[in-house]
Amino acid sequence: MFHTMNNKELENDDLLRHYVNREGIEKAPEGFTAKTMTRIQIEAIIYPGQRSFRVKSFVPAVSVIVTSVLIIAALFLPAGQYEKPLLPVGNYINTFIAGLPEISVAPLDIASIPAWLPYMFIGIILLALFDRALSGFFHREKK
Amino acid sequence: MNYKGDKFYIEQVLGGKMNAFSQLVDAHKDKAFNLAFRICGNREEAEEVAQDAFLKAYRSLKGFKMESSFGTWLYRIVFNTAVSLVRNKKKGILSVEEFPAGILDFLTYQPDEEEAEKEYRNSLVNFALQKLNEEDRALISLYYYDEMEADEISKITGISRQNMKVRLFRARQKMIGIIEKVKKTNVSHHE
Repeated sequence: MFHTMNNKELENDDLLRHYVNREGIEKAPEGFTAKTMTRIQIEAIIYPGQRSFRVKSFVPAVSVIVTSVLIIAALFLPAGQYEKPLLPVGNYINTFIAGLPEISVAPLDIASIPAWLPYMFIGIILLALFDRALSGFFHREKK
Repeated sequence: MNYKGDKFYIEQVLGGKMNAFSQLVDAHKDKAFNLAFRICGNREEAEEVAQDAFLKAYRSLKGFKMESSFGTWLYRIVFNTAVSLVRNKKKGILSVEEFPAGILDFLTYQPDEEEAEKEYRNSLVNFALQKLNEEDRALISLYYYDEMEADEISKITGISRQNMKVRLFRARQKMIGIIEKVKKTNVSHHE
């Protein structure tokens, strides 16, 4: 198999073959496959598959972009209803905001709650729902 | 159930069917366990090593490129895992005098003389194997028990062909020496 062995090597080789019993191969114990598969299944639950950085970052990246766009758009929104916005999108946002129902904070009886605060909370809730929806969409194949 | 080949089940596992891996385990468990046993020297550690190796193989299956056979790749993992375990554990190695039994002892509990002779020889080989270092044990196991080609053994162990020849020769010589010494010791004890 490797080279032409000299007589001494042949003698040693033959001697060892005399002792080695190929039928004496040690077999795996009963239930080995089941135990191994159980370990694999447990590990799959405890340590879900490694995802690439790209996949892991996709949902947070989309959330950041959407949030940033909203913040930037809000910065360019004019203070008053009748002022011209700097960006064309401001027109659409103005129209949208004008169409929103007015949320009265009077019942809360707290002095100087800014009028925009309730809208901010609603915005945060909407963003959270959007984030959950994205997460559910991208993780559904794992289920 | 007919075994459809390693490639078929690997593709199934990579396609998301985890249970297909059990077919691969079934097909390779005995050889994996045998190699682990020859290196570790006992069944408990061999079972632990073989299971760890299959677990590692499952985790790394995406990276398996089918350049070698699945068996070769798996045995490489078994080899590395077993060698690490043996090196990390301080093991007491039995001296020649501590080899527990001679052929007569095997005959007392194995009435079939041929079976007793086989068992005795197996024990001698296992005992002598433990005197070798972990890598040489693997070489002996893969060469004699699995009857693998040199290239395959080289891929599994990472030992070059040239180096392997020399190491196999030395390991053989050492094992024969130990076996002969044990036999003489047992003969003198039973006289």
